[in-house]
Amino acid sequence: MTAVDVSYDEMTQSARVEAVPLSHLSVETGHLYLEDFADGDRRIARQLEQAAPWLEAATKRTRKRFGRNARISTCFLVDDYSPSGPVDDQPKPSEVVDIVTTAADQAGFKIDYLAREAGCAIACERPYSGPRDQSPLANIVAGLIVEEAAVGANGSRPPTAQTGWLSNGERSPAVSVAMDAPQWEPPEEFGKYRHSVFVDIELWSQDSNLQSAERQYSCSLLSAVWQLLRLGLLRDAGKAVAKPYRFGSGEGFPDLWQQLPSITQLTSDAAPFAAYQALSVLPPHFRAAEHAAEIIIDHLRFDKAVLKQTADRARDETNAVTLPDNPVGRVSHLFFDDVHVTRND
Amino acid sequence: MSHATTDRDPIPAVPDDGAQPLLGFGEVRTCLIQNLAGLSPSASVALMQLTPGSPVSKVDRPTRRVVSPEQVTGVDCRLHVAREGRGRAIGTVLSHAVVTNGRILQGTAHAALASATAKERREWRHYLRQPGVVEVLGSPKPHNVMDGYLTDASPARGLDLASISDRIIDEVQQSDRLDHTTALRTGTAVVRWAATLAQEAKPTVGIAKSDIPNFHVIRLNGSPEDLPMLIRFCEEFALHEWLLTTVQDVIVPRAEADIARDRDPLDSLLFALNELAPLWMPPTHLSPDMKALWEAMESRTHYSRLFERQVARIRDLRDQVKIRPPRRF
Repeated sequence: MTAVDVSYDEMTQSARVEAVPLSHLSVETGHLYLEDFADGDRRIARQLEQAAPWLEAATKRTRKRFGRNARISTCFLVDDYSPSGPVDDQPKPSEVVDIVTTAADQAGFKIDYLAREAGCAIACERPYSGPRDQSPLANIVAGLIVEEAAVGANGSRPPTAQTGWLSNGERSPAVSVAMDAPQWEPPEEFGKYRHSVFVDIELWSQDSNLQSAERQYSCSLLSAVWQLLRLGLLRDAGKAVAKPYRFGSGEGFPDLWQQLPSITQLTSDAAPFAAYQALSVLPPHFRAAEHAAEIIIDHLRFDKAVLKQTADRARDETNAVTLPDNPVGRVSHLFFDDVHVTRND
Repeated sequence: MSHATTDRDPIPAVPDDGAQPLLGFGEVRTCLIQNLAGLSPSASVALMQLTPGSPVSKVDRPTRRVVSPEQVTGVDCRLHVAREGRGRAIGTVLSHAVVTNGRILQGTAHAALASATAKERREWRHYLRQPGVVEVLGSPKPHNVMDGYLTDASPARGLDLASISDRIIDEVQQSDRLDHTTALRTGTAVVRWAATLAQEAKPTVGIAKSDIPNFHVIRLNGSPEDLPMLIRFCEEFALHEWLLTTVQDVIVPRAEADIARDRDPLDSLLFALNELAPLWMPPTHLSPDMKALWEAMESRTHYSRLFERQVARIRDLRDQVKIRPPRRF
């Protein structure tokens, strides 16, 4: 009798990871609220003017390190996630695009991609997209958080990240207000060096009166999503998400922000949106949220296949790029100051 | 790389830079899904979507098996070590849920224990890079660590994989997608296992039925690369053990008691024949190693023959009921 080798395989959804195109450097040249456009181009002009020299320096450095053909893209983030005013008062996407493009021209560079913050909560790849072609990115990132184990955690208690908070240490025990209140004990940062810098981050809030109320994601979590998009590390069941969309020449912009794709490509010859390195040039008030985003990213479990794919791509570049194991090591920030020249007109 | 992937469970990571694992620990809980009807394939997939954006694995044959993405739980605790020695375990435990044929739910937690790569606790991201690996600080003897884990009480003094596997079952059973009605009153069975891992070691299995009801302890041997197969073996053993126990200790005695009291036992008999009997499908098709392991286990336990005998008994009872219907309904 001869043995017959028979194999039987079934396709499953697992293990398929789509690649995303990558630049060497992505520069976030600014981040403004929709309300900031209420008085025209004043704020954006100032933001871009301040960003311009840093962009130039970063470009120079990247070309020096990775060659003249190093790919560099620029982007700008508009916060449409929680607008304070009524929809009618909001500037239309087409108006904002005009303002941003003109302001960038005046500052001496081009903005390749315009992104919107609500598009970080739920990714849309096309204008007027519906639930079928959207990805709940904030949910996905929140689901990847692995809370740091406190000393003594043996798995018997559920993680507290389910409460919508993430910290980088051991919280101070709850102190009651009763007369016999126990003595206060300080919180403690995990892996602190002598002293703690304890950070407790609110990931989302939810109206507790409404059972089915949607989570309102915090700026910190959405910043983490945004940085991860820029690093090309997010997937929805292996599929690339929030691919930039370029409007055709005859195609008009939608009137409402929620109808806009997450990322709109503004220039025709742009280098890829995502990059090995992400630099954000921002005003100082974003510092706390960006720090929080970094802590969140440090608590994520990444798909190994995605990390490997990115590292392999980087190594295969003409001038090989070595990426750190830790995605946070690919992000840098520049927070400029609030000092202005006094003009004597 | 081919896009086709075979029936393979999410594999616990073996550390890239760290030491090879010396031990593998796990716990599997098996129960019925609290839903009156069996779940459709798409409902099973939706139920197993415990992590948004992470793929659910689904295999249709020989039985439909839908597996959730791995959940990750951080731990930093003392090990419960038998006899002498101390150890501190730092790292992450993986857990996932499995739905078989839209009827049976399993919650399983597992971790691979390796010697620590540093003398102190390291940055959290170090442990996140090797999900499912727990590093052991201190140098307790592996067999003491293994015995300590297998004999740990409840609540656990050491690594608490029982709570982690319990939680994943609860999370699934509390889902809005279920109607929370049981088709049959049955218990939850627990299998706790531990594997000694050494290069070149041949897979072996030792099963002990505990005096605690519905609780089995399995000791295994194998190489570190065998760990995914050993995890799957324990899940399959747990499923088949649950089927046998449910049919033998729940359905048959209850039906016999019903008949004796002139009550109608037909519903549960038909449930066993239509819903449970088809699930008896030993995993010998998975790999030659799994086949060898399972057949060796069968040759000691005769599980398949015992199950066949119970199914035959159920058919007999059904026929009796047909010939002489009970008076009380």
